[in-house]
Amino acid sequence: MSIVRGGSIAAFAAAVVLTLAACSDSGTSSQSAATKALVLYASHPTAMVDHYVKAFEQAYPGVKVELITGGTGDLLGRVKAEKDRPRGDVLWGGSSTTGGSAPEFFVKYDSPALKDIAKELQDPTGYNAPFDAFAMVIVYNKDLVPEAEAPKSWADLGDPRWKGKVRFANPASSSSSYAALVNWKLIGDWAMVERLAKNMIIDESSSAPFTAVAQGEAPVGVAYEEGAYRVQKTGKVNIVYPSDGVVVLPGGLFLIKGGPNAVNAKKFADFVLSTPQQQALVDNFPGRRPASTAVKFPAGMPSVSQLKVLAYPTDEAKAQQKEWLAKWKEIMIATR
Amino acid sequence: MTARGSTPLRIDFWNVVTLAALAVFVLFLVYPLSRLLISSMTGEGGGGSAVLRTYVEFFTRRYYYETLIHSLAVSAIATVLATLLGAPLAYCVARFDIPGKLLVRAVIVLTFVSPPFIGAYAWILLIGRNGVITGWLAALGFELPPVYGVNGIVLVFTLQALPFVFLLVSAGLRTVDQSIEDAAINLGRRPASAALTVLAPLIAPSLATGALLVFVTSLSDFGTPMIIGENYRMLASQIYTEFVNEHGGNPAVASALSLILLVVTVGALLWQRAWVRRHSHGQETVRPLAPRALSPLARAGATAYVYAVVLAASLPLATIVVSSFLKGKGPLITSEFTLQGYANAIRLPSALYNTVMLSTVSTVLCVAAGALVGYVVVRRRGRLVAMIDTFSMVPYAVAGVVMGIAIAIAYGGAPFHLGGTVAILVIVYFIRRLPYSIRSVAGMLGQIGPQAEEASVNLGVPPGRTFLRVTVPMVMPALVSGALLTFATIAREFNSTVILYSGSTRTLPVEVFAQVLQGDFATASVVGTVLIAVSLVPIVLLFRFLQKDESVLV
Repeated sequence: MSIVRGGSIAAFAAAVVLTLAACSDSGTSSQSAATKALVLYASHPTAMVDHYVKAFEQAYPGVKVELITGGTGDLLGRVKAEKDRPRGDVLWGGSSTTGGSAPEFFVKYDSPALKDIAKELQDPTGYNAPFDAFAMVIVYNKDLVPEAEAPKSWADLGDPRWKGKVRFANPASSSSSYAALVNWKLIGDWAMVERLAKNMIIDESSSAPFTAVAQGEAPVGVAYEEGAYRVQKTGKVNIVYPSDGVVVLPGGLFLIKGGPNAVNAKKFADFVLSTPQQQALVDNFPGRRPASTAVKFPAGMPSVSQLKVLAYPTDEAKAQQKEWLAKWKEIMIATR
Repeated sequence: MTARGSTPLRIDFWNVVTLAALAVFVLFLVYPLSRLLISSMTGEGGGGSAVLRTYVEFFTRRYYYETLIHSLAVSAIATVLATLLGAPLAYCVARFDIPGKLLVRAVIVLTFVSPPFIGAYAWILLIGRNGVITGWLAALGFELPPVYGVNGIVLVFTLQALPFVFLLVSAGLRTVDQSIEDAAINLGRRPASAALTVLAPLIAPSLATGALLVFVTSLSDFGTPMIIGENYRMLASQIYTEFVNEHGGNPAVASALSLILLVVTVGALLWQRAWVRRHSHGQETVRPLAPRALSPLARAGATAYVYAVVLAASLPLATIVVSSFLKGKGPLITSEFTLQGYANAIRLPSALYNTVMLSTVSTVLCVAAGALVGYVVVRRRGRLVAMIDTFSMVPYAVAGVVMGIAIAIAYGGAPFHLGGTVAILVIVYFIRRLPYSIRSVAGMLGQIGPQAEEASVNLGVPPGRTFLRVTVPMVMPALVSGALLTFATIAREFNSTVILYSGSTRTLPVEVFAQVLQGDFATASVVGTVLIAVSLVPIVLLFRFLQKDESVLV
């Protein structure tokens, strides 16, 4: 029906070869190939994620970011479930323990941008690209809790008068909540954890506690630092840095092993660690502690030297995560 | 058309369809549920003796078995309340001259198509600790009991289940003959007493079906307790939490809890069917119940009752639509008008596209398969057909979260690797809605004799072509209304979607839920309003252009 000439056969053959090459490339050794997408698993609040996605797409016009959001634990679960066929490139959220708890699913990355990142935030095992740092704090609603009666320390939250009034995200699905759990354990071991657990209402999203406090739906909540500052802007919320000590954790950003767009994943890590983007973090998202030492430290936020900082037992918290979460669940079972 | 018990199966069109239908149920229903059962018995470190370990754990630890007690109690209370509120509502609308009946019906249909759990966060906005109405009442010196916990769950379940009771009781009342009521009144009954002692038993089967739907829907809804329950934990929400936290790990606990929920819902279905068999009355309806005139006072009372209930049921929807046009200030909603919310919801377009695309694809598959299988169920005989008939009952009683987890275990990982794809969502929507399509086609075909088809086959037209040229045109009305209804229900499907979606297949209900969990009620309202509109379009088409009324919904 159609006349096939030699030239078009050659062109067709060339196209087939190219297509096959492209397929095998993206299928096996994507490290070397520049792809047009980046699949980002992010558990951070949408406003900040959207900001960086937009900025990244502007900086790299050929790359389209496909965003998948959820709780950190949920997203880590996805990474694990997809280990035979990874679909994501970057897991962004939680803390350094998030990916550290499952190093077999991620690749090490020694970003050139790490030179300006604070030494104490850098991951000695080389997996995490620390984008920021955060402490866990207490927030309370000013209309519901007079300042004099507000909790001053973690231990205060164990007081029976807060029973059923403290909102806390499930540490099994939120890595920042897990950091809080470790924080309490450092102060008073499991007895302390149990005393606090009795008073908690458990949420399934780490934004839920401080949001409920800001909305006046709950008097007190446990929050990650940035969330606390975000809702402080409503004028309804006060932030308490507990006097019995806080932990300061590097935020988590991990490159997923075997992800389809490995080159773009590295570009993304370099991008968010770069000095201009670290400065953008300080300028646009109050409450975020920048990881870079090359930017201006945000005003209105206590620096680590002004706080009672407890050394975070990174290795132990990673190694024991499964046991400690099981223990937390035992406590939940016993106190519900 | 006759039973061919012992003769070997011949390869003809309908035998192929029968086998294919059976294969569909085995692949997408029997296989996933079997995998669920196996998964529930293969907990970590489980040897031969530990097969039932998760079950033993469930029934010996209060933390777990309490969720079952809570679920049963709350669902039972919601069922009773919804029946007590909904049955009189249907009776008043059917029998009395209530002004604005069309509006009342429209509002009830609207609440019927709205997604589950949407009421939960709307009621927090209204009567939460810092709710709008809470504020007004506080200014007047009244204090409301907290909406969180069991109160709120019962409130939401009752109101979102009202339409089931209303629609089924309305349908039941249409089958009652006026002569029965006349006879009771002639024998000295007052009309109210006749309604309770004579009409109520006659519509008992409809009431029982409505109650079953309320009960099963309440047992299956986990969004509501997660949003409004605070520490009041229920079985379905426990399943979701266990599954999400162990996703990729070991879903033994989630599987075991799912099976327990499955046993409860299937048990409720079987019990209800047995009860209906004993209590149904064969009736000929020659003259349907006529509207009854009321004294002005009684009419005012009935009108007030109808409007009070309908207002309560529709308040959450109104709240969502209104708050979608209000400016958000961080997590707070102000009273300033804005359209900015619609522009800011950046995942709205893709969620809208996914919802429409998935609903369309699944609807087309459901309706096509439903027509073929519906034909088989009505026109063919034999053991295989009986099996298909039984299988097609099962999805009614499988909660969305249970079906979602079963499909995730069966098809998410090796060897199919469908996790996160469009295909896995289409599978779950297809198997969940197929029974409804089968039933609507079977219902219509059952009323049409096989003569036209037989004539066509006798004239030499092959069975497949006969089906397309003769049968399909005859059941077209059922196909079209079934398709619109299927679309509306798939668009709002949440319980199974949230288990199986991925970033690229996120739908509107999932987006609403994610925003509510994050506490961004302003964006949740924007997405929720779009979702309400999407589910409403097919219903409007159905009513306006196919001249249907709400009776097609049940």
